[in-house]
Amino acid sequence: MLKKCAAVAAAVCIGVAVAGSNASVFADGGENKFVYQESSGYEGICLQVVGAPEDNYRKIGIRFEDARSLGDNDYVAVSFRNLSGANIPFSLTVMDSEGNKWKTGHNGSAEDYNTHWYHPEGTDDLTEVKEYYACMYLTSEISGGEVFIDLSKLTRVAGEALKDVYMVSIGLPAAYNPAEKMELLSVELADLPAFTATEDGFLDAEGAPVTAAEILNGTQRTTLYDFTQVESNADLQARFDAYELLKLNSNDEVTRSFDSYVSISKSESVRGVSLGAACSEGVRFSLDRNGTWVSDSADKFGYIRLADFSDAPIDASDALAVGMSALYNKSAFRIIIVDEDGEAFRAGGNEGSFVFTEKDGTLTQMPTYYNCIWPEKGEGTLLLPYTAFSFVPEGSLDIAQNGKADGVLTKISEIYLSMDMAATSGEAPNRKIAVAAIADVEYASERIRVIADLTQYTKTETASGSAQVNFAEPRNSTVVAPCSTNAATNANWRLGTPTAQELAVRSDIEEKYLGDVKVLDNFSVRDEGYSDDDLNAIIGDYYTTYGEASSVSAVRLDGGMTALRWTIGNYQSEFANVSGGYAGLTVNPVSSVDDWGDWSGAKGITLHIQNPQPYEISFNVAFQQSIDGNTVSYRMDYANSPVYALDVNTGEEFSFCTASTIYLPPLFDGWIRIDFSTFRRYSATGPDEIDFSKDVVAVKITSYMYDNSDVSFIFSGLGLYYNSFTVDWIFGDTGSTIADNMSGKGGAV
Amino acid sequence: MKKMVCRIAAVALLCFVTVSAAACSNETEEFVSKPVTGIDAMFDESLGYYNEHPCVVQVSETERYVYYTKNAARSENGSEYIAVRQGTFQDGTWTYGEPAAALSPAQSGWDSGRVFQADVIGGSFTYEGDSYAWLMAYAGTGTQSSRDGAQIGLAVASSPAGPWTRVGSAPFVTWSASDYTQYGELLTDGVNEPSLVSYNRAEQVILFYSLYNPNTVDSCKYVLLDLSGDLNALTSVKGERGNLLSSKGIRDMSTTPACIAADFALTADGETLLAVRDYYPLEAMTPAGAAAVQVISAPAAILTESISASSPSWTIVNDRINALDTAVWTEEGKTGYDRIYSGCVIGDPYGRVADAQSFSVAFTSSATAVATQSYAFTPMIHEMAIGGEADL
Repeated sequence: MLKKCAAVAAAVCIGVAVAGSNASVFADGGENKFVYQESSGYEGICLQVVGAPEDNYRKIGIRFEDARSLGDNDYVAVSFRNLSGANIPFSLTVMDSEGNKWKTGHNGSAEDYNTHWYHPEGTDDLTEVKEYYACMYLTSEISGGEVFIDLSKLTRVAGEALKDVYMVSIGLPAAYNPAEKMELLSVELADLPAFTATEDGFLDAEGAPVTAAEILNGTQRTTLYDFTQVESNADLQARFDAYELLKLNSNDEVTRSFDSYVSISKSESVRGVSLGAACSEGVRFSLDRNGTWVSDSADKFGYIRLADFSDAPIDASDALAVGMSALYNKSAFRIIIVDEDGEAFRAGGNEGSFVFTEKDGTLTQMPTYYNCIWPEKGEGTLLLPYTAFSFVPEGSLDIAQNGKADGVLTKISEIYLSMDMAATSGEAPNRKIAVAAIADVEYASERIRVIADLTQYTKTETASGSAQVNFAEPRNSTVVAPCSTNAATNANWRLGTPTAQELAVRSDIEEKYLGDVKVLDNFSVRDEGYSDDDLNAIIGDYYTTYGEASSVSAVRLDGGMTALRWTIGNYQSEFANVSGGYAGLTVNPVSSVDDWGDWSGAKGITLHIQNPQPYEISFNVAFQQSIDGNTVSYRMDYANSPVYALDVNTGEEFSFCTASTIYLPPLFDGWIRIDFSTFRRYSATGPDEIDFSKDVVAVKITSYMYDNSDVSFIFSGLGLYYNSFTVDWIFGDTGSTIADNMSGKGGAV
Repeated sequence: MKKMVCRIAAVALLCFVTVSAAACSNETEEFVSKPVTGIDAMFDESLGYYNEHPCVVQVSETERYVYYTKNAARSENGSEYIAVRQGTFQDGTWTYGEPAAALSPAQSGWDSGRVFQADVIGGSFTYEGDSYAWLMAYAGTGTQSSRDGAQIGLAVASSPAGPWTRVGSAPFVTWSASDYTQYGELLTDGVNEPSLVSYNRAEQVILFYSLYNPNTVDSCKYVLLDLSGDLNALTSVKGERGNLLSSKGIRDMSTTPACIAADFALTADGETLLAVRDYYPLEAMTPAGAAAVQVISAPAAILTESISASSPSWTIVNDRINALDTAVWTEEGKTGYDRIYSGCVIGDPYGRVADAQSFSVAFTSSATAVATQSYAFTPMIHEMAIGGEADL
């Protein structure tokens, strides 16, 4: 059982403050609502394994009112795409109008299999694929195309030979393939020209050589079902309602449990919850810059109890919604639930994300890694499915021994906010979270039940500098601060009301794409008449520095936008011999950028950068990925590598070579492009080859202090470019230059 | 690598390679033969006068012009200028006329100290309303003390023999030591070794040059010039702001090989780019310089494509033209030259050669300080055929 925290604030009160309005702004039925947003559409339909049924298979069936003739067809062709990069085995079952049924039933193994044929999408190739484990066993390297399944090699389930086609089903062995996700495009009957495969290639019926392209060109197809004709999720549902399509179990019986194991959709929808516009009115929880930091404890986190329901634990329906504001970019935090058994559960793991409903109703993803949630600065509602709360191992929390009872999150007894208090966490003192409300959410009924309103409170400052907060609602009255079993860390919590500067947010990225460039950051905050100091503080909340002394400030641009000025400290007076003399700047993901961390397909990084100095300045660029819980970094690391540049003032395009760092020409202002081939791993661990199937979690820019004492870099754009480009060849058209590509001439992203 | 070098068997001598009372460059000076330790020079000048950085323009089967860097005062290296000799082909040999000054240091300004490393092409140019058929790019400095911090200027002429008129009073490709650090000027060679190739045999010109950036590595750059307008309107370009020439495929003994101190030519069909470059690293012993030149070729697309894993590469045509290649084994004491550097492709007036497999190059040789106290005044210019008989 979790040891309860009593109010331990010092007894000497030196002031009282009242925050919040008189009436609760989070009353049930107020502005609270579910928010849905289409995230992606498919050309066909998407099948994704979401659960593991005991009977393994879930199948999508296609039923024909009038049985289709088999004709001369000897194959069933299934067109698909692999959406997960994992193995995507599937079964095929064909039943005729007389009940004769055949399927891919060869159990075998990778060495004992039936052979069918695979035509990769966009090629003229025809390669062998295997049927075993009663499936077309399509492995992860198969990206998509069409599989020709030889009807003569199917296994009889019932009856005699097939007379016609009354029903066809495609089944996913969900119990053994949790990562399977595929797009189904069509199912056809196919009549392939007779051919045989030899070591030297294909031979036709007469024994003459024939190419795969000729076989494919000679193939006759009869469409059985074209999933690209499905217009929407509603249209898809209508087809199921009409029993044109069927949701089947392993025995080809219609089942109600289908959706629990395999989701089928024409487009994916993201669900969020909004607790209204008052998410900025909660208590600001921050850590004291000058507080006592822990460094020798197993648990380096401090805890503050947001809600206490120990007298009457709350039912956990589907998810917890937290109305909150991140008042500093990347204010890493955890939400801990202690259930009525006294077990603690933590939201977030080493990878993943949670849906965050921003103030304007936009749904974004809030990433998790290092077992923390990493918000971008801004306000909204975070939705934490209870299924995403994991049991916290015994002994890893200072606030509880957390002995395991049943390991199942039952009723909610307490909810804690937790933040990193490790002395070595340089950013920890800057992190600030304001929590306004907590609700329990039930999906089916779309019920949002506010269980804690943190806008109604009084705050008592104490002589020790800590504070005690008393909330208006009786059920929350036990929420106090500090609240930790670690007395040393108690004084580190600072409570208050968010300031306008803390609530200020970055500018929207108006142009998400510039031709072949996907914009990842515009380094701009919305200038709403702030003073220079406030503007600098606001942009400083987003871009953190490390290593040798450096600072960030805002540069005002036309149109109310800003750019980021990064100024390296003075070598004479500020050099501290940190990290080899390098200063660093961190650029974190921007939540409003779709798939910020997905860099797959890009050819390199592009930066809009300005060198205000009349001499060269140097810097380097790196990016980080979180792979298997480790931070893996790649940095531009090849001397004599080319950097391509477009000067936005003169229109010049030119190129220059690197040393081990990039030297930016004097007074340059424009875009530079750095090919990924010039990057090399420099973290101790991680794959040598860059693997962009893993998300990028940060960009790091470094500069050597001695060479760049007191110099400034001005950043106004960071992106990825996707096209090859040519030299600006004024003697004729040889292709698309950087400027051409950025204007879309070379093809947009 | 199998060498594909055919030596020019006969190089005509305007002056005899003996001590003679008749000096080539000055009637009143005694001619002293330079130490000839290998193949003969294209032409002889007395010891005390260095001949470097050849540019050979062959205007017909029987006429060519050789531009080169030369010191004006015997055994002094502070007052160099660009000399030119006319060559004529007769009876199977080239003979060269007396040297003339193609371009001397200006009276004042950025190139008032030294002018050197000229390259010349033909074309169609206009400067201050007048038409010209020849364009020269050259390196220059404002001081006589050294060639450091060089910049590149342009000049025009109606005839390859001159006279040459400077284009403006400012360099065209600029370089400033103060561009590189806040801690004071970092002086290097600057930008030099200009090489011109006519892209359309008229007004479209590619200008290659070497850039010595003190912060990074030495690199070869090029800029594209559309000279259809009056050259008076040309605006200068900073050396840093040219296009970086790919060094993919280049191999020598350095870690960052590039086309430094190189001369370029296109084949007649414009499909292949040829180059002669200094082989790196440079020798440390005096004189510090290359001991060989390398001949390379690449698809012309190497100029248009950005450098990537799939962009074109250079192919090495002749890995090293060095002492061994310049030795004359049948003669005593001719074991070749210890320094071989600053080569050029002998091309037509537009910087073209007929055949990428068969052409000629010229290069500079020098004795070393160990062998000759007056080594600084020994450089000579030699010619060598690559891949067979040259066919311009």
